[in-house]
Amino acid sequence: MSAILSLVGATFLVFVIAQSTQDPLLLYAKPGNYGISEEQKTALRKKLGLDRPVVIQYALWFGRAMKGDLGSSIFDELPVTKKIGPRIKPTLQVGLSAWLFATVVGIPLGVLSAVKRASLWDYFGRVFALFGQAVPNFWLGIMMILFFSVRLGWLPSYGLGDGGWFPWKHLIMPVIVLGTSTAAGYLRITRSSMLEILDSEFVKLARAKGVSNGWVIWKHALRNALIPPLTVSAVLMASFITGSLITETVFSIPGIGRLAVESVSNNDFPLLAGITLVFIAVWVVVNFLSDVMYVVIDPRIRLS
Amino acid sequence: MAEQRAETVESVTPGFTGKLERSLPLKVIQFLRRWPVIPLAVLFLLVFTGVFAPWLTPHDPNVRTSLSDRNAPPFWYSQWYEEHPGTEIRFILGADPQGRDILSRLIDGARISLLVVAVALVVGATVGTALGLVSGYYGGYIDEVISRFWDIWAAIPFLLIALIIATVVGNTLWTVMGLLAMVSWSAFVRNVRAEALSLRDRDYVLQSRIGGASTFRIMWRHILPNLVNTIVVIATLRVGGLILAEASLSFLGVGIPRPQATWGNMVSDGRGYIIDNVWWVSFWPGLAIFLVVMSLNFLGDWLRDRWDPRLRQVST
Repeated sequence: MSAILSLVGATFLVFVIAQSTQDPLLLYAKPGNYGISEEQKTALRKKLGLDRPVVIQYALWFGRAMKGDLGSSIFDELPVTKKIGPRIKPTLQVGLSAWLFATVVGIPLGVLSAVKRASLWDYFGRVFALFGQAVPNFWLGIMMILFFSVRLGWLPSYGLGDGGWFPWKHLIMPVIVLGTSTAAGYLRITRSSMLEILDSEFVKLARAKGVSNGWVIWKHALRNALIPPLTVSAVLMASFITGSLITETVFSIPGIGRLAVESVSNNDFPLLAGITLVFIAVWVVVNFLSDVMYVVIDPRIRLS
Repeated sequence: MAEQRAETVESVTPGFTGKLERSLPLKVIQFLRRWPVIPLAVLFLLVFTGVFAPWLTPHDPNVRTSLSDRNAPPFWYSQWYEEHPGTEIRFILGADPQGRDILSRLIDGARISLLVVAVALVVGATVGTALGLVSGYYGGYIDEVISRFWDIWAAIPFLLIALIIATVVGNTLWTVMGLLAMVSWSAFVRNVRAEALSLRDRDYVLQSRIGGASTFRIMWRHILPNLVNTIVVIATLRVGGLILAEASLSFLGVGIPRPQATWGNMVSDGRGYIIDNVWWVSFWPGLAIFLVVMSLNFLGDWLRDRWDPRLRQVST
């Protein structure tokens, strides 16, 4: 429910921002007019529905958006959906791989560094967490290009190749750039929750019963320790969206994130509003999925 | 304890006569472990250079010296400087694509980062704390409204909103500050609310209410002082994220407008020259961001463990 509200809230915010600062028509027809007369302006205003109150405009836009019509781009008059459509695949490729990377690196490393506390693993995990949360991802990307593409010539520095589903050589660097901070986030949270669980009474009881160490960790501790990382999944996912803007810019990947950045330089407001909607819709879906996972993992919620 | 150990050492090693003293390197290591010396040093350097930037920059950060200085490498590239006798000065960290001294721009950029983040954080902390206090203290539907609003807000990918605002309003120093303030408040609300919720039913609060204190006075004089630790810890943990956010905005070209040097747009300046192996333009400002953010996170963790271990889950 709150996810749907977020969707409405965010897009409405976009509308209010556009409305409150200046005449929204200026967004469509830039100052200087390009020789547009007053009558044409009025006509354009009417055509775009700008003569009505914001709430109505918003309702109309949202209604059309639900039917799959996001208006058309100012820049080249193509429908926004047509512009966004082909951009989805690259973003998805990078995003999903990065999420996989973050999960596969972050959670096991978090568990490992909690279980083998004060070992080399723990040390490595903590350094990784500090690094991942502090390194600016755009800088990491540029430095990786410098090292692996320019100096060593191992990896391609831009794009995703020619349309395969898993161009792993092209994906390595973007995935690391996008996934590192999320992996670090997962690691930190998993580690601290695992430490807490390992210290709890029921784990001590299990140990006292003579359950083997591996089984205690796998069966008793891990399941409980996974709840906090899951709850923050949604927040980390939001950082994925902002991350994709940066990653796709750095690596010239033709995805939605780069489209958003391009639409800014073209002053393309309807396109940007459409992209915002898509991003937030994705976020809502992810949020829902993480809620489902939550129920699967934590039986207390299912039962209550 | 220490004496006992000294005795055992003497009995085990008969020839041992001196006091059991820790060696100097060990003392240094222990000192470094106990106190966050390195992060504090980095942050001190940041604040110092930020405040005294105009007197510290070796060259004018925004004026290029001469065209032949384009992408001049750092000083240790002696060969380059011999091949280009036109350059009169050796740039310590090199020069950017417009022949501007990177060190000077780095120092100038520190000032901007500091300013923007300080303003955003103060505004954010004030608003966030106020909302959290009100929400926790009153509870009921006020709490419900603020909490829902928080939920919605946390979901908004802020960089997108920043892009939109940049298209609509144009990017200035003020919009960037405003944007970052919009991001920074939300971190405070949750924890302040939780604390306020547990504090409002304490006996001393009840007593002051019986004594006729106004609601504002109770919040200001009796609840807020208890929250100072929490607020400082969250603020410290938050600053790093804000610096990163500011740099990301600048990198995407919707931050503080050029020619003002910011660390983010300096990294972006060097992006196109990486292919030519010109690493210094992007490297230094990124390293600066990295070191500062890392120090802040480190310091935040340290403060949290010392002052408020309950916040352990917040650090994301």
